[in-house]
Amino acid sequence: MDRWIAATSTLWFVTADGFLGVLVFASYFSTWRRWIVTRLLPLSVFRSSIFPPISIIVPAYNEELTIVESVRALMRLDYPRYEVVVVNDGSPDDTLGALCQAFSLKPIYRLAIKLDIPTEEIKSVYHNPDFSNFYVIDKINGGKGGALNAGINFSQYPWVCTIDADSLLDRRALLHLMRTYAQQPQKIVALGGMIRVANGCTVEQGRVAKDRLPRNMLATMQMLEYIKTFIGGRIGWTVLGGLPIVSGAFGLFRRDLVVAIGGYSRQRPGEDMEIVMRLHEYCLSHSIPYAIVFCPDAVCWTQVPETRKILAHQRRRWGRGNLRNIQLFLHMFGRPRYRVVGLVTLPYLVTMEFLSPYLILLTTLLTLILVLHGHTVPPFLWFIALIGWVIDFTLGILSIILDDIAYHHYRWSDMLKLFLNLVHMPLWYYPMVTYWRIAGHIQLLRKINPWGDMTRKSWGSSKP
Amino acid sequence: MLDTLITPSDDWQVLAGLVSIIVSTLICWALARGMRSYARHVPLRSFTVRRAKRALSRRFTSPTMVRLVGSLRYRPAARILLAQMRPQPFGPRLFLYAWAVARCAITPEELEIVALEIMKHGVPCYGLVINIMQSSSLSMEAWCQKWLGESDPRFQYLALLMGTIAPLPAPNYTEFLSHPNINYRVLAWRNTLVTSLSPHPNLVNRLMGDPSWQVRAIGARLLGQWDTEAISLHLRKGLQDSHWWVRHNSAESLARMPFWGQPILFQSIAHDDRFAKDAAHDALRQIDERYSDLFLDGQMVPRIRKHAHG
Repeated sequence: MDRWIAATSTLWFVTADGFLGVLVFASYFSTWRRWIVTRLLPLSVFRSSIFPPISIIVPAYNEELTIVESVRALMRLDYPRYEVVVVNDGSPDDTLGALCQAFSLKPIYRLAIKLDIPTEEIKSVYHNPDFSNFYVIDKINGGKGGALNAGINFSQYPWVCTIDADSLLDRRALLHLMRTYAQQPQKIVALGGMIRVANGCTVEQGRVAKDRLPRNMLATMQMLEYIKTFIGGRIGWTVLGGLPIVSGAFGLFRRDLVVAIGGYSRQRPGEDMEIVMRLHEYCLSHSIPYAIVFCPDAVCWTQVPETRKILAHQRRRWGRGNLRNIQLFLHMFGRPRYRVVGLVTLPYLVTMEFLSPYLILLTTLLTLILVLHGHTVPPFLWFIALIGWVIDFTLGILSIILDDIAYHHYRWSDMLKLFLNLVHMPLWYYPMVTYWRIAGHIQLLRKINPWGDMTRKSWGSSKP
Repeated sequence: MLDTLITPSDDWQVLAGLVSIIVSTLICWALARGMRSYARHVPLRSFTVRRAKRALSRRFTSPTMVRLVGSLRYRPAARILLAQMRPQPFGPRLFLYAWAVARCAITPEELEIVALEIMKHGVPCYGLVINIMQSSSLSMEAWCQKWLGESDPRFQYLALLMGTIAPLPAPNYTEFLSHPNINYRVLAWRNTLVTSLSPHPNLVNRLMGDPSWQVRAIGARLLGQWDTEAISLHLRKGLQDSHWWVRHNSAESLARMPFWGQPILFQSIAHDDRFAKDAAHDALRQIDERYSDLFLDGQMVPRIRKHAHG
């Protein structure tokens, strides 16, 4: 049994940490290139009206507390032409009322909406001519995918940006995305932005005035996780050409292609990953040259759960979404026709996202059985665990340093706190998240599919 | 004095600098003189041809040699250069070889072989092929005409690309107007519209009914050169297209048509749907920034209605 445990642990350790290491180093090289390009292409160039206009779609469900502040932030974006379309997805709370009151909106009639993608019935559209680029759609509840589809039908511009209603977009986020787009305008079909944790930050007039670390330990752990995933992972995935997901909280898509693939899936969860995988599939099977890229300069601030209960809901939902998408796109697994997506991304998703929790669980159980039978824990397991921890710590530090140098400047005290939190992260946070992921898989198999609660805080109260 | 020499002051350093500048200038001058007299007495061309011949006797890969052979148009080197160009990956060295081999190849058949070799690297290299074809004895129009009749789709695409530089009469592109590949259709429509005096109404109907928005968008942009009633009506339909680029280009074209187009933009703002209104508003704002101010004041719609009906 010792040998079996050794083989399993070593295999998992080598594949997981080796691949994550490759992604981090790819991120470093890509950042150098990006650094040069950002110096060559100043942002002021992209304020010109020749750059394609963007429709920002904000699906909102029970967002009464945050929606007004989020829309105010969206109205102050630094981009030449855009429209904001908030889709109220049949919220039982007073989301619509809050918007109507804050912006003096009135229902408008005889408005053209192109039904490119099937969605639920739209009850009415609200608008105020004083805010010429702002519309609110009130529709029957149909999930996030349905709300996004309604927004896409209503949108009139060639690029659609989807953001969560509880997020705050950085003023220059769209300019940063377009700078990345301008490097390969013929190829890029979707762009993802960086999600940063806003818990602990001071928000004034729809902008993050002071960014500080969250005081809550769970929020800090999630912040570290986001930095490792986005900076250490997604930049590397972009270099490889197989980015599996553009975050649902902030992404930019070519409208015609989203319409061509039939819009967002109305089956939840995991619609953000599903649309990206479908774009990959569509472009590869139709031989369309394409690129889906991650842009770390474009920042979107979001509130992360601060209690275990809400975090558990979120992670179970993510677990269900991952497994559902793996099931949906398993036919691409290992097929050279689907290039990097078939040969690298899908195997990665299957091994790292689906199998790895079970491998960890299996190894832990086997070790427990050995101990219960009076054996001692084999020394190589301690060794592998130690090496794994050291590599995880190193990759975490590299990601934070890269983030600090290239994209986001941290205070020294904050950096130190992040490093210290990296030390104990694998001891309690990873096992907890792994457990919720497995619970999510079980929920999907039992066809239990709740969205879960998400308690919002008003942006005005998000001060340290 | 001795102390000053051992620990030189700033003045000594300045003096030493001046002396070194003067000495190096003198040396450069002498070298330049020597080179000039050498060049006067030695026939340079025969010297370089000798070097090229010597280089051809063995495998040469130095960029300098390739540049030298190419600049001499040394015909015997064409075969060797072509052989050396084949394994080159896409990059500056491939461009250098392509340039050199095109200069050494003389007949159109040889140039075609060079073009085929370069086209293996894909569409990004097609521009390079067009560049080297400009150095041949055949005109661009002749190449374009020749390749449009080829069965190889790559040559056809190249011919359509060449058509953007050296346009042929419109009927040459007719068979490509319904090509299944969008890129072919875009180029064919572009070349057709650029070269035709006035497009036939059926042709415009077909263009604006094309399933690809890229084709409709380029069509909408190019149709703006004819200020006629029939075309302005087609562009009005384009204002209500499902794709933004088509609406945008249609509106810009209408704005370029002072007699038939601009009144339609005013009518669209007063009567058409939100998508057409937005496109028309943008185009009008580009004509005159005052329109934008009037919109903000809420005075525009009554005035436009008056204008449209009047």
